[in-house]
Amino acid sequence: MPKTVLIVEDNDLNMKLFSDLLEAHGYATLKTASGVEAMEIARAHRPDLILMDIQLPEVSGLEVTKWLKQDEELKTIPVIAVTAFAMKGDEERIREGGCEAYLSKPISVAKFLETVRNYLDAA
Amino acid sequence: MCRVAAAQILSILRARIGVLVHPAVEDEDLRRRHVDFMLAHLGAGLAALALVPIYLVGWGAPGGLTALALCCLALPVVAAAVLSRTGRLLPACAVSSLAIAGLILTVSRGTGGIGSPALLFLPLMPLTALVWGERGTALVAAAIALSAVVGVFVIESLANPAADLLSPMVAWPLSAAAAIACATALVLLAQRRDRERQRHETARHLRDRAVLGALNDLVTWHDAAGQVVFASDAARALLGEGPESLVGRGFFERVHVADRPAFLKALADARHLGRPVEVRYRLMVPPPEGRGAPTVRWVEMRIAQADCDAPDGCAVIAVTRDVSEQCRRESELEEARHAAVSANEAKDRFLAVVSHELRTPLNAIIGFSDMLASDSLCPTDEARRREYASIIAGSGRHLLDVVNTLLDVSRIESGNFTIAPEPFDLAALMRDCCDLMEVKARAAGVQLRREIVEPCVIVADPRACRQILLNLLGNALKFTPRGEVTVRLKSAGAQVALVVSDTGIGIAESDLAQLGKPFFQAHSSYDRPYEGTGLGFCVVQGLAALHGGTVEVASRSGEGTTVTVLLPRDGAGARPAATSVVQSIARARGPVSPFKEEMKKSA
Repeated sequence: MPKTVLIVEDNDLNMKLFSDLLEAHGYATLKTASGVEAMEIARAHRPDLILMDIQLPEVSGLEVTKWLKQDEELKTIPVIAVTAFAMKGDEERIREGGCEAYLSKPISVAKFLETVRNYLDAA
Repeated sequence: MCRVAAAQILSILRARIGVLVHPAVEDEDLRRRHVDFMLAHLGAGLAALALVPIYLVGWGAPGGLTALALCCLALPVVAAAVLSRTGRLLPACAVSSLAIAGLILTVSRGTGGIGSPALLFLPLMPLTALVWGERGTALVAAAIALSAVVGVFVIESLANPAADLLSPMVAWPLSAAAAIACATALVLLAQRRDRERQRHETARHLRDRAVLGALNDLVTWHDAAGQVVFASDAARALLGEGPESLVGRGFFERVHVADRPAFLKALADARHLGRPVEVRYRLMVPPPEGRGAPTVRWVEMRIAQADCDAPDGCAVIAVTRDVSEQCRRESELEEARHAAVSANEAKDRFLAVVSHELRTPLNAIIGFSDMLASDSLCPTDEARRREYASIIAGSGRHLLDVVNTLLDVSRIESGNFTIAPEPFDLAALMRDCCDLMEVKARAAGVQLRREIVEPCVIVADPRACRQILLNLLGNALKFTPRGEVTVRLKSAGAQVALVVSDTGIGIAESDLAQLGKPFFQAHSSYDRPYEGTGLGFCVVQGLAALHGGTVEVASRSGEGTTVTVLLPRDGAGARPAATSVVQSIARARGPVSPFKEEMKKSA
């Protein structure tokens, strides 16, 4: 059974990039552009990893991460922030917000895959 | 009670007698002495005259000696009259001394001659000069007293021609003369000391006045209750009123009502703590000629305990300085600092957003390029490779749009954006733009309605108008998740109205005023719900302003937004360059927490 990755991303093109990359490597993907929906999907499908965009409509990815980490059953799922917020201090703030890893956009495909693999192989 | 009544009667009498003082006497102290002199002498003389009828009733017609005594008793009235007529104390005192000497002589004659106790008063005569003042007075009094001694000696020698030379007849006049000389000397000495003290005091007084006059600061003396007992001439410069207007409660009443407690506390503190106290408060300066509202002036007051036990009740001395200018400069400085901080924050937010907006398309461009370039990741499917290439191209174009908008804003702001007005059909342009956005609208499930009156030829820069329209349409579509967007072109007198309204999320009232300030929309907030640099609207405003037009926004949160751009039909008012909007950045206030930002409608 392939490992499942939940991608939370509101930009269609970036969503396509991440899902194509992951699927090409044999991972199953779940997709949503909404933070609220991400919580529901996480509860229903228990993904092995979550890729989290930070700027989202309605609630921010940081807020969704907080909900995830407060949830007894979901808090063990690793969250990798993949965001275009790449100013000084952004990585610290996002890691403090509960994300296990931080990748800034534009991503390096190699580093992206390596990070994903790290968390999925460890799980 | 009795003392109060007596003091009242006395003050009434003094006021009445005051009119008798010679007009040449101006010095306040001297006037008082003249009044006192006349009061004493008129009182004594009139009392003596009042005795005459009683004497006549009791003892019948007086003998020669008694008549002389009565005359002497009435003589002070003459002394008072002399003073009133001449205004000089010396002749008046001489008459007064004559009266006393005459009285002593007549009384001594009737009460034992040379042994009479009345003669004891002769050495005291020069002392009257201590009361009435001048050196000459003492000398005249002494001379008259000595003459009286000689008179007594002569009279008694004639009465007792057989007297022994060593008898009291000789010893007494010599002793009396010595006593008079001694008393005179003492009086002269005392007067000399008094004069010196007065000279010093006058000098000090003049120096104090000179110092107070040279100060720009207002100096006030306050009593224990805080009331002013003295104010320096600087009151005129500070308050436009003479120092006398501050005496009593005058000063307190000019203190701003809100600052009065602090003012009184500072006065009390200075009095009780025994160290100087400083307080800053507002003075209400009455308007010139009493018309209009009083102006507010900030002053700083330094109050110190007065270490003198002054008879006027002075408890503290205060120096008041006008610091309005200083306060103004301080607040200007604070405002400038605040503006600089806001501008800096705005710049940081702007950079963060620009970075975010550039990185988002770059992610797709680099990511898909990497895939295409990789042996392992490149799709074998031809159609998919084409799709990737078109995504890269689309993202590149989006990136170009972002960069162009940034450059436009930058040029509009620096005044380097030039427009080239020419006649063209705005209606046709609007149709083109709507056609262009139709695809996007359909994809978003939004109905794009057009209400365009054609044709509509105006003189403007077609490229700028196109940019305005595309920006507004892009905004409207972005913030209208479902519903409709309507584009209207209306004639409005010498102007044309270009209206784009939507049924989208709208803008909160509190954010409306901020709209169009560059960077306002550019919140570096992780909560920011929509992509975009937030500069589109700013560009619209800048371009409209370049044409001499205006932009109006009407919106209600949750109900939609209507943006109306009014442009002059004939191109009148078009400016080669827009005024800088940097000031409006500087005015954008308030620190912004990057994590807790309201969702803003951003373009």
